[in-house]
Amino acid sequence: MNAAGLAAGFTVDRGTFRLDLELAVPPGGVTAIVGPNGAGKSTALRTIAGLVRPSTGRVSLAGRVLDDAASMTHLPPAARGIGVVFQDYLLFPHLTAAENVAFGLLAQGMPRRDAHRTAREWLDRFGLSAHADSRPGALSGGQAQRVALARALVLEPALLLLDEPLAALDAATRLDVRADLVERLREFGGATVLVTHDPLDAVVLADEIVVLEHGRVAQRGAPTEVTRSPANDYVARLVGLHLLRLAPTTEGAGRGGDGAVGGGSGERTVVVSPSEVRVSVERPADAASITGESGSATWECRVTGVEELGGRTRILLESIADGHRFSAELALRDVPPFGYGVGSTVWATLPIAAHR
Amino acid sequence: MRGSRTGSPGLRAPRSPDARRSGIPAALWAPAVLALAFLVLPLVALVVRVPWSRLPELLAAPEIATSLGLSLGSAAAATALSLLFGIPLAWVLARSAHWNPVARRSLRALVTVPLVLPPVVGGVALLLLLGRRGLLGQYLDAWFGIQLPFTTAAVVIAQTFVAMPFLVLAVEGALRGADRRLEDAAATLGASDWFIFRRVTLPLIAPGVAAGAVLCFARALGEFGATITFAGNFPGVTQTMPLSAYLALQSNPDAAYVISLVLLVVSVLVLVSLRDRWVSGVTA
Amino acid sequence: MRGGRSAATRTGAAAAAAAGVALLLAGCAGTAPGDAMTSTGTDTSADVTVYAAASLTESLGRIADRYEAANPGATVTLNFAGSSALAQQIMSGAPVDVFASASADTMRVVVDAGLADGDPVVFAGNTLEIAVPPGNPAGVSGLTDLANTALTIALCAPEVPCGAASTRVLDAAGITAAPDTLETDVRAALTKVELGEVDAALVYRTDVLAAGDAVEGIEFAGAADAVTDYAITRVMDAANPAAAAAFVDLVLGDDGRRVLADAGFTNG
Repeated sequence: MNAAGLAAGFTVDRGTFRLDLELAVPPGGVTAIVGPNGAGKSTALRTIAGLVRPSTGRVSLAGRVLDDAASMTHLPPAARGIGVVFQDYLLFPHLTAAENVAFGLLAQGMPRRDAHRTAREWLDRFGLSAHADSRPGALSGGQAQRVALARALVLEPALLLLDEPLAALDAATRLDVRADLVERLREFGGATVLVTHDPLDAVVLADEIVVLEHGRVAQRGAPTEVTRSPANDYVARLVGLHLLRLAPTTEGAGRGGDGAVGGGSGERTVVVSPSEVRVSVERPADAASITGESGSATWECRVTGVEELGGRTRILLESIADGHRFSAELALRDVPPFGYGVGSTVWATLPIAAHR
Repeated sequence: MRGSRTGSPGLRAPRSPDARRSGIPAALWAPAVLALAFLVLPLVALVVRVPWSRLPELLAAPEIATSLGLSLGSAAAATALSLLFGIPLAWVLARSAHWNPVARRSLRALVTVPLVLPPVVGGVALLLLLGRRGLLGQYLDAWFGIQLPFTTAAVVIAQTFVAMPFLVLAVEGALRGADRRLEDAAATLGASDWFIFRRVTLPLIAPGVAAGAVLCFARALGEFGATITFAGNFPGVTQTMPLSAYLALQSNPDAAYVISLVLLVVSVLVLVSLRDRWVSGVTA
Repeated sequence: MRGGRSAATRTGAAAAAAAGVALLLAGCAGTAPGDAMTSTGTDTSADVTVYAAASLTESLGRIADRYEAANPGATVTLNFAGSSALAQQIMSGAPVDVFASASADTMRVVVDAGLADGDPVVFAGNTLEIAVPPGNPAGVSGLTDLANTALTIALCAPEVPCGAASTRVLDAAGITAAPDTLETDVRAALTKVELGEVDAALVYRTDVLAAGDAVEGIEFAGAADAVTDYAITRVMDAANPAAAAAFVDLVLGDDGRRVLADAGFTNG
């Protein structure tokens, strides 16, 4: 248990459903809770926020006990000092962006003038000064998300909770907002817990992933661990992603595209979905170097297995150059008539700059 | 719910005229027109019957100004009281979802009773409670020397009794329709319950409150039975427009038509202006 | 509080009044039309619709019972309300056979409109009394107390008959009353006495009697100066002119007078 950050271990009973969760998030750490709908993700977040009382267990933040079922201790949401960004952002529709950000400051007794000045400073910092006087209805999804983030962070909470922070966005804005969120979370010094049903968000944003299934933790660990060695079929299906480390062989390639996580020492990690991997028997004519200046990279691989997955074929691959293992999922029409034999050699092309 | 990303989409009027036109099936037009005619034609008949040539003379009667002033003042006071006490009651009703269903339904039924009770019976009930021999009234009289019947305060009480349920039901509906998660969001920002109520809940339900207040005011303005029974009838003290119209009907029907016309015009003016201003204040 | 017994249809009352049938037959023999007297079973030609002042509720109800007993199968439909309201309904074409008004003015409106069949007949009179709650807690003793501003006083509004009578009585006595409320009808004024909400009210003597123990009546000198005359008439174009005449005759006859006198009316 980390006394400085969030330390939580609790159960919540909702009828026949039981959520059983332990979390320890240090300051600066980002933990992502992933799982399908109904897994208990939102209940977990609402419990930490104080909107739901745990049936058993404790929640403490920065050494302060927020919940202790044994001693009937329960601090209401308003007294917890936890920032929450809700799924639909839940901006107050009758207030402007600046008033939304100032809301918490006013609620805590800051004089009106100071609160509004501080709110505008935060909106400036978030690149929203032009929208300070707009109502939420006039903001784009990405802008609304940043206002919601500013509204939570302006109070300088010790813990930030994000409930499906990207789910309300369309695919186009999602990419930008995700990249922006990475930046914001890096600047934020407190602990962060985010809930998402999208493993890609988790992998990109978090340094720890907790996979929740039917209210229980199915697996936990660093994104690379969880994606590389899923604990069970469920996690594998859920995650279904690859983290690829690319060695820097060309100068200037360190800056990854959106969604890529910069690694240490110039190395970079790229997240790829198996469905994005193209497989061919011949070396593609446009094959690019591994550095991916053209936005994709091609490896020569050995086929280590073939699986049928309800209408799709999964081909397990191993890079001949460095032994890296990953897989490709192909539509049946993309598979040649005689298929790919185990042990045969193929060329796999991965997008490494542009993501879905 | 202007601009609310989370509000019910059904609350928004369709933007394009085409969508609006196709939204009303032809089969609804005939009954709609009949309904409107049914509501409006009696008023037309009343207006036709008004002795227009003697209008200035009849309007100049001082009783009209007196009872109009009393009506507007008491209806405004009744609306204010209803807002002050009715909004909290609506809040309790709207938040009673997790109560025992019998208790919840009983509470709602009790709130609705004044709507279905004949107003005269309501007036008798008020006398039995607040009259000088009433359940509470006897102590008001004995301890404080307060006698409510036959006072302007009694007019306001009678009007509040019959009109407040309209406000409570309207506000309760608005509360049920409002997104409670916004209150959760406010709580996580450190706001106290009272701060949330004032700064989040109340603004969110403002259109419902406005509609309820308008209904409440209109009902109070037209109140007759409970007023005559509980407050009595005395010019300048308890004689509101409806009472004066009723009495005039006994002896001087022309005067009664004129009083009714004034009541009609004032009601329409107040309802139209109030509604426009309040609703536009919220949706602008 | 208009029409406590509005449009009450009085079928099947014959059985209740069966004991009095023989007596009635004797009493009415001279005036009832032959067809009504000789009819047996259902006879709609003896049906009659009566609009009457609210203060006649008890008395006309009793007289209607007797009419129905004397005319087996006949139905008396009674509609009690304020006289002015009834007059307006009659002028709007309500299907009425008989109209009994508590005010000569109101009756005149109907006569002037040409809706009275024959001259109206004054059949009863009513005088005013001071009604006080049982035990007379405020110690009211006479008309002069109505000018006491310390007391809570109810009068009828001058627009309605009992209010007009009150004005006449008070003017004659030279008293400026200090009412707290001007009630729209005499029953409403009486209700406030019964509930003890007012110390005194000027109401009809018949209402004091009808209220039984719920109120006490105080007679005063000069009450006879303001007798309210009750007039009755057949209405023009009555559906059953003969039945209407029979009903009016019953009211004006000995039996009707007795019922009215029992209720506190003076004989007109």
